[in-house]
Amino acid sequence: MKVPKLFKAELSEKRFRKKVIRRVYIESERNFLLGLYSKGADGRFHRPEELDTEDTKRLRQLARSIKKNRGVLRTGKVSLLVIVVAVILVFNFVFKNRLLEQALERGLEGVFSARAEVDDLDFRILSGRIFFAHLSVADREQPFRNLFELGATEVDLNTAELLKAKVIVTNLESLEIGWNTPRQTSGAVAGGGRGEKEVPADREQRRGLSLNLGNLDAEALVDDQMEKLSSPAQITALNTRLRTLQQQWQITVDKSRADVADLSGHIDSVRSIDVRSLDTVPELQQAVADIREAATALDQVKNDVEAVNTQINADREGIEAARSAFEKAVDSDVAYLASLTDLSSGELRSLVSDLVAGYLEQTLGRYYGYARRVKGYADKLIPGTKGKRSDSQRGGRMEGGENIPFAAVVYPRFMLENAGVSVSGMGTSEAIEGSVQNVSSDPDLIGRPVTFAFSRTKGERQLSVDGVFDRRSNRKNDLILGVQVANHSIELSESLESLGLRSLSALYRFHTDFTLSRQAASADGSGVLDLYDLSVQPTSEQDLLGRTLYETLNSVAAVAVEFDYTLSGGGVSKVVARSSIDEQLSRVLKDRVAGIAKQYESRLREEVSARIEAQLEENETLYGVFSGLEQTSGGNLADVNACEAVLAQKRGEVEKRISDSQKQATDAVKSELEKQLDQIKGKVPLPRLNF
Amino acid sequence: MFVKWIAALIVAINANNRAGEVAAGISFALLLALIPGGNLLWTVLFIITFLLKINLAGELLFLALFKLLAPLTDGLLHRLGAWMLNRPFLQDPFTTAYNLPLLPLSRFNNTIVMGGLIAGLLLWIPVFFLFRQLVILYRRRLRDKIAGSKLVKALGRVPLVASIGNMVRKLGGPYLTVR
Repeated sequence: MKVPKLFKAELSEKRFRKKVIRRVYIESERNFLLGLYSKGADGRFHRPEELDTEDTKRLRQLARSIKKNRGVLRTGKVSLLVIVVAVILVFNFVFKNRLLEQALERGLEGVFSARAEVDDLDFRILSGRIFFAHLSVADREQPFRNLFELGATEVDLNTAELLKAKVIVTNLESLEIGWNTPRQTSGAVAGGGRGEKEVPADREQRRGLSLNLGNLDAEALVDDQMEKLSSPAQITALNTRLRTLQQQWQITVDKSRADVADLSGHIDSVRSIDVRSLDTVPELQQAVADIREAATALDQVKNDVEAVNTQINADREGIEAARSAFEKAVDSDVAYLASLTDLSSGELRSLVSDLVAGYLEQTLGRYYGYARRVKGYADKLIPGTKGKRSDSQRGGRMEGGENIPFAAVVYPRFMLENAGVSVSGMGTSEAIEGSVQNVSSDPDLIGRPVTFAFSRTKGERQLSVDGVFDRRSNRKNDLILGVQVANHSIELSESLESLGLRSLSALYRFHTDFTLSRQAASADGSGVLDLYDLSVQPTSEQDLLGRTLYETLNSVAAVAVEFDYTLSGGGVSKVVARSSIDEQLSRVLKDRVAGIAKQYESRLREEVSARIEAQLEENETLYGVFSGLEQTSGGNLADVNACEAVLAQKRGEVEKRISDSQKQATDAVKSELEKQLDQIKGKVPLPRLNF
Repeated sequence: MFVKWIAALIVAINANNRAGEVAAGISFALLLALIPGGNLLWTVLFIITFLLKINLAGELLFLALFKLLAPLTDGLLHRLGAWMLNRPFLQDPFTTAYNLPLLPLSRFNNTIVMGGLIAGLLLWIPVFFLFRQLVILYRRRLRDKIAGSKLVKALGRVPLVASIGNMVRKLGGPYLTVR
């Protein structure tokens, strides 16, 4: 067995004392060595050249322990630590950027619930800077579009806070930004879900309007509503009544006619009496008898004819009343039909406002959608406190102590102090600037709300958005947003047909402010929309509404629309707009609509009349026949009256003749009697004639 | 595990090791016991002890022992730490330290942590020298006598002691045999 080098056969005293004896801490071992080595004359320590196995073994163990006792560090473990650190560093250098890329992508996917991609990330730990060539975040509602993308971007991080596991971005600058850009692959992530677009249930469908007379289909309307009209039933009933009366009165009037004819025979015989030729009493008595007979017949016929005439007149009045009621029914039907197509112009009073309100609903709904999504992202960014252990909650003996607070800037888990993007030039007239400040996972801790501003200028067109997003506790409002738009164009072509317009285009300025209430979960806002350089194309010259809108809108230099709105649920729940030309347009439309309403009513009347044309014709015929009967009846009565007059005249003549004859006879008799009386003085009385 | 630590400590005391290694292990055990765990300071100190040539078995054994007793000293440590942390002239350094990266993770602003650190550091040197001297005295005066005594041989037949003895022989080799 070989003796270790430490225990050479000959050692200097210094080496023996310092390197050997000093490092042996066991008394027995030290004595063993002192016994083994002996100091020679040369002052050096010597041991026997040959040692037995046991001594050699003991020396080997001693050498091992002496070697082990050197130094204060465990070289093996220190080396292991160095290797571990080296591996970590190498791993960091090799995989750091890839790992950070993945961490950033996962973080963004967590916040936006959609696929995120980061390319060519380079993290400089010492300088606390991150560069990446491209970042894109998909839109979870449109997986094949990006919510936004950033080009070459530089991020300044607070390295000190990074060591506390806090990501504090002091500044983020990007020179390229894009949003709503197309993607090659789907950006949907598992569990991200595709948001259903909510549509307000109470949004009313705007009723179709048209003031083009050609577009008003009166025929179809009357066909459609025929069952609900009262005039057809009335004319039918009237005709039935006329038919019945005609049948009833035809016989009666004919009989009266015959009676009158018979009477005329009597009257003619009376008329033929030549009263002057009646000289004798019998002749006079015969004439009187004829007249009496004729008078009796006349009285009977007259009574009958008068009764018939009275009744037929009464029926005629009834028919007249029914005809009048029918005409009113036609008027009523026409009014009802006209009411089904609102031509009152009442709904047109705020036509421009309503038209703009539709556009505003879309625009404001879009902004509100963005605001809601930002709120959703913020809610994901700000973690709940449930399950989160604060320092003071940590267990162990430290609880028994007290944490002495020292002044320090305490950052939240994540904070973006400032981010800015500025894109301009590059061959276009477009310039984009945007900034956002104080985005954090704990707004209460930093005590500041998120502020942001964005502006986009393209030629003359300008859009700027600024606002405050406040997720701090005990705040009334989550978001206060202001939007300003200038020199943008509005071009509408859909849904304008009902207004008689083919297209409407204008430039506009627009500004609005709205506040998203935390408690009510709704936003209220107001704003002004100025439309200018209006260009309107009516669908046709015949369309009154389109023409009126065209003329009115072209006659004004600008239209100012003030609006108030409420945003809730999935979008705009209410928009109230007032335009500067509402009154003017309403006035013009009122006049024009009145005219067209009259024409339309006339057409409706014609259509209704056409539906009951046969009944009307029958009614005219029946009414004519009935009128004929009435005239006949009247004629009968007139004839009777004429007969009566003839009879009265003849009676008068006969009476006069009798009277004259009586007088002549009386005078003659008187004279004779006077003669005879004178002769016989009252012996013979004269006969008396009485009628 | 405790048997192994006891055995390793016995080996260390009896082997050709520096007495300071055992003493340093016990001193560090006291320091680590006085400082509450669960903070960066304790973790760093513990890792450092693994890199130093100190007796780890002794450290772990005494750490377990001292940890049982440490809560009894919390009141004292709290007062000591509070006194130190509230020294006006130390406010600036402490504030600076509190704002440095990582240092707040040491929880030095906790009164018991600070008190434990101060007490541990103050006691480290006396404990070190005390135990070093005890080991030296043991080796010089008792080691050989105990190894050959009848009492030790009798105790060696007790099962627990026998197992420790077996472990010691396995770990310590020739130093446990009396020459």
